[in-house]
Amino acid sequence: MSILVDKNTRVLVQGATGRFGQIQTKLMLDYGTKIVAGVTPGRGGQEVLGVPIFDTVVEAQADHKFDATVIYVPAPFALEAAEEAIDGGIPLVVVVTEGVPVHDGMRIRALANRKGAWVIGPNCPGIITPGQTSLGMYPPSCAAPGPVGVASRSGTLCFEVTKLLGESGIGQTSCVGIGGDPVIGRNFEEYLKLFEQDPETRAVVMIGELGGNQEEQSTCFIKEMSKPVIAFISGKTAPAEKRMGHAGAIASQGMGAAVDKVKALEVAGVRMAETLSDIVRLTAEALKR
Amino acid sequence: MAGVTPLLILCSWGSKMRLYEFEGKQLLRENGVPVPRGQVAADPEECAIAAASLGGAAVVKAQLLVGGRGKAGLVKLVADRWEAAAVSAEMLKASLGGQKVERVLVEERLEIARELYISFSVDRLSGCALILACAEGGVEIEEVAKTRPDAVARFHVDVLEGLRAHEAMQLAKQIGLKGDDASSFARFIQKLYRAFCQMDAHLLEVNPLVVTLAGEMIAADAKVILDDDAAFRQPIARVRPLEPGQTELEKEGREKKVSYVDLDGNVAIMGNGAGLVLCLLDMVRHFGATPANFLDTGGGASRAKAKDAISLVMKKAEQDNRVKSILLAFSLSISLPEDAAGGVLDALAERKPRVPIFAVVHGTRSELGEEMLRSAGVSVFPSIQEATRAAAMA
Repeated sequence: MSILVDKNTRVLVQGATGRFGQIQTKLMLDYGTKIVAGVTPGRGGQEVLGVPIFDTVVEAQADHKFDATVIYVPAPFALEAAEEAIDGGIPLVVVVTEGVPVHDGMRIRALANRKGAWVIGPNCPGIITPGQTSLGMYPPSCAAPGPVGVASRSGTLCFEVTKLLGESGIGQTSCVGIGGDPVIGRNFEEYLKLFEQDPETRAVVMIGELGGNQEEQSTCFIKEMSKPVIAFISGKTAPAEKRMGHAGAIASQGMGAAVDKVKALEVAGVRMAETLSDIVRLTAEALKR
Repeated sequence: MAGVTPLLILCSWGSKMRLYEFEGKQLLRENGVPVPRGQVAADPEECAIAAASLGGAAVVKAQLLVGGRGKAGLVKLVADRWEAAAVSAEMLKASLGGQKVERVLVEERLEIARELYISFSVDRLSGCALILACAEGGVEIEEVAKTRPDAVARFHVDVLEGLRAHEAMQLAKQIGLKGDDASSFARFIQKLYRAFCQMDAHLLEVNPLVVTLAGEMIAADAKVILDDDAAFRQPIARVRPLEPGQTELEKEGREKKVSYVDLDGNVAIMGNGAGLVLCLLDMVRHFGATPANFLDTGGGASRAKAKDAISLVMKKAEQDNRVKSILLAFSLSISLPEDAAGGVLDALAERKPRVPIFAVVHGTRSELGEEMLRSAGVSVFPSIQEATRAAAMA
């Protein structure tokens, strides 16, 4: 299986008619993603690569059923698109868009929580279940089917890691870029939970970075996991987070530096990788057990 | 020379703009929040005029983007316009934390009955707006939080509902306010919360929030950090001529909309994606060299942006003799090789790099990207590890 998406996932694309959206729609279709329809306000009735376009999610839903949507609209419209999708009851919303205002990010998160929707992103490459489906723009050459679940805050760094894993014969159940923005739909912990529940995932690779305290927050759950977790934190060579305004200092309680994340994760039993090749080595070892 | 801490701010918070006190107060004023009467002055004469218009007695406050003004004597009470002029003359020669004082804010003197603390920030973990409140303002709030954590009240706002009157009142009671003070505080912070949202702020801190003898609430200070991603819907410009403490290359990076931070080192670095670039920095050190800079073009670099970015890095190499190599990593998914590698070729057509360039290109149609870079004399490697090692050992 995988987490969240597989070959049966019926996908809507919001923003398929833009230049960028068209390229990405083609890439997803080539990968085998079941793109059922697209929504672009004002372009209802058109077609992109055989995919029918509607003006609204509601209209698209009159003819089709969706399990997920991928949003490629420009940043000023991302909130509206996400709201429409969530209001429409679409359970999984992938917001690829970079540059979404943080206050909009907070609203998207709050709306999703209210409706029980799962939002990936904003500012992410999406999620790929190798060999089955890709929602977003994960480069196909960087992912291969296998037993490892991968969750990453950085998109481009994630591609590098899964490429290396693949080259060593270690494929992935699902690879998800959880989002690079300060406020994202779901934190690391929730993806770890999904991987723990997925029968095909035998180990989990976590790619974090300095800033915020998601990695620290996930340690409570990690301690209870039956599957091994390997983590890599980028930004170790930058020093402790500078306090920006007193509120920033108290609110984060000094957390945020990569070094602190490494320590917290180690204490929770995570195998910490120093370099990218370490990730491969540690994962291989973890799978042998 | 900028240090590594700005890099942390950049990565962990995204692109932000910190406002001067007078700018923050202007935004508050526009959002209906009471602030002291005052005027900005750039020289002693303007300062004197400002003080006179306030009746003579005033407060003169240096405008800087660092804290610690009070302790450094850069906030002074003055009795009349002449003292205002003299005090500002001194202040305008001073600097603090590497920043020169270029302006002062001249404000009315408030009759302070008490000082409170209130701040609004984005709580990343919960995705809510976080309010911190304390009945002791004007002091080091971190100290209070450490020594008497119960004195600092926290509240997570449901951003879909906003801060409701009864919630604001609850907060007021939690920090020990009573009667009229409590209800005034509640109304005041509701206005502040709306302002925080309206201005698309990452942080709005009012310390102190003054309650005057007459019972009025006034935002006596304002620390505001704005979200650059919201610039498209905000009237306030997001790029200054030169941010205090910023280097020329950092300023150029900002103008070209790439995240560039100057560091001290011998390998200049560029990549698409903050996490990827941070990883390059770590790996350069791992191989015994030091990063000369941080540069993230963002996941989807256009041809023009890629060109601007590599040009910046080449300039760094030209300006700083310690730089011995350039390391470049592209992970293509949004970015097309024609754009990423094409941009690099455009730049190389205009200027020759002082030092060798080592690159790695992965992702969709990466072979084309590699081809293009090789044709321009860039050494291309199959892995990040190898490219980094080569750059570090150059």
